[in-house]
Amino acid sequence: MKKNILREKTRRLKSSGKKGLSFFLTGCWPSTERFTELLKIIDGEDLADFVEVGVPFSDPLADGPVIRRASGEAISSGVTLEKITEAAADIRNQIKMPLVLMSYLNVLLAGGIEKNLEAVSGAGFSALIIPDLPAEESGSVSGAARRFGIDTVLLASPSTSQERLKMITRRSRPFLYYVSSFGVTGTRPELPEDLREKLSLALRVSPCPVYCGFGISSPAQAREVAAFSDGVIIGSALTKKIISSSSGCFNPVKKFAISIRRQLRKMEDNARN
Amino acid sequence: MTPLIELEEAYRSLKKDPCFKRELKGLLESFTGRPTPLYLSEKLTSYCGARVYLKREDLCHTGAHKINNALGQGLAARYTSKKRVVAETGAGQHGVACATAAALLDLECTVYMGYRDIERQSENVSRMRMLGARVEKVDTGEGTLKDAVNAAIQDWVSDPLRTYYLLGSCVGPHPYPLMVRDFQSVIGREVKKQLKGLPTHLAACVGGGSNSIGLFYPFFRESGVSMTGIEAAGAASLTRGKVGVLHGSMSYLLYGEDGQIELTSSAAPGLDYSGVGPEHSFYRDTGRAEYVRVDDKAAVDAFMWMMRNEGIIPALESSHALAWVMGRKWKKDDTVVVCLSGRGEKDLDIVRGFLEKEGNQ
Ligand SMILES: Cc1ncc(COP(=O)(O)O)c(C=O)c1O
Repeated sequence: MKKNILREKTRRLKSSGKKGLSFFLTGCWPSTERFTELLKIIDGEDLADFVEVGVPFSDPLADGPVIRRASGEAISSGVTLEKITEAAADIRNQIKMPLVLMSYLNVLLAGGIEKNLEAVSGAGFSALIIPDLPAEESGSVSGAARRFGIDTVLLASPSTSQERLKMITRRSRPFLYYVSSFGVTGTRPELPEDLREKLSLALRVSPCPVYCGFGISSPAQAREVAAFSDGVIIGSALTKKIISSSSGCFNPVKKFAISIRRQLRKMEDNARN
Repeated sequence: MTPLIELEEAYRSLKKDPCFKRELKGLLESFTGRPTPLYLSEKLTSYCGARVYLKREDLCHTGAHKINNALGQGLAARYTSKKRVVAETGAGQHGVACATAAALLDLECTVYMGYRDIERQSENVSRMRMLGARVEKVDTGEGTLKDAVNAAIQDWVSDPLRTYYLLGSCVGPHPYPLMVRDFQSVIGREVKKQLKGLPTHLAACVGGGSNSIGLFYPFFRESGVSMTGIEAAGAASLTRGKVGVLHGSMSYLLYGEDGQIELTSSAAPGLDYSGVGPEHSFYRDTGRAEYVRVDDKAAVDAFMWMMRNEGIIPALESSHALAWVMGRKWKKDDTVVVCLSGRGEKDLDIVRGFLEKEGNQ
């Protein structure tokens, strides 16, 4: 089996006391060229440790208005799982960072899950996130994915009972995706009050690193969340920056990414001193 | 998942709670007007050449079977100390039923409805608003039932502690298909009591599948009773779909090669849904029920026939079932029970528009 670079990456970050940073991008949006350009920039300038690539879906239940909009535009312009795996395969050799595929279940089932997983694996994705697949039902999909060398990242949230949290963390690889708050993706002015406590519990019971996402929109929030987790995942806030960099360069994206990185680095330094 | 696990546990204990059962039974009798009549239609009987009974869910308070489920789940919301219910609606019948149950049971109520349905069922929108519900227009997607479900689920998961999601059909994640089937099974149980002996056939329209499963389920083990679910030709998940996953359940579903859910189009807003309850998929795969399609025109013809000959305005949804019964060859000793799931005042504009368009061609 080929080596899973995401496992190595998350493990290395954790053992060296570093906070991970991941961005969510809607696949082949705003266009395939812009998307691959952005992947190259993120990788080349080390703006994030890995990237989640979202496959657009007609009924994105877990997504808030910003990602829904991107997803809707992508569907209208003909983006499919196939287009995304082709684009990723084309630039796989030009980037070093790991990629994770985020897809709703029906898209993976359509046309046969084995065929789709083969393409996903061939395009170099290390793991899958399936927001509408509960851990209890994940066995057959994650088993099939494993045969193609792909891990399955499962989700937990502050409302997850301790008992389920244990079960989920045992099955989730190579990290646990902790959904910071009730509801859908999207930027929020404030994170829930008890997040700190709930995240600490997740960190304690989880044998794998815990990454937290949904609603993180500023460097200060990233820092707040990173204090009680192994890393943060940012989607809607970054998507807004992509929208505001509609033509020309990706300066707003870069500036935003660097400001988050800087906060995380500061934290790591403080922890060391 | 947590709100669903809690709901499942709550429902399991409510099912055995004598207080809950007594209160629901009382409401169904005195508020809804149950049992609804089982009416032997002489005109249909002579038209079809078999005994045709209509189960008159159109005579339920609020005008459709949807109230059976809305009261059951509304009570469940009260028993689990929720303050607010959210719901999706297509035809507006479920929305009206929810708004009614919420008014009666002192719950806040928000109903999500696609923009297209808001346009074509405006009377029901006014009813909901005047009953005190907030009606939220859903602009995403096609503006029909599927999009309203998305919006209602998103509302619910944002505030699961205070809010109860009152799903209107036997779709969505477990335990909804089970709960809705249980609350609608009163339809089939009454038919069993009202009819001396067993029918040979049951027929009901299938949108999400709640009125049909409510009629079918009590007869599941009666192998001599055949069952037919009638889909709208423009939203035929059971007869044209493939197995897929939408809204938390695996069932027959209309989607394209790339996995995107397909748009549906039926003149009957309550049938305009890309998926169907998972229990119907089971009935289909095991051959326990057969599923067929009826197009808009046949449904409108049946609608008009019923008005002219029976003095009954059937919902356009129910008219699909009637159209199938009227179009099939029957034997003299067949006994058919058709679920007349709702009344059709809400559909007069749609039917008038349809007939005008036809007349112009
Ligand atoms: C009168 C009537 N019949 C049937 C339906 C279809 O729903 P189901 O298949 O769940 O009974 C609806 C839905 O709105 C309805 O209003």
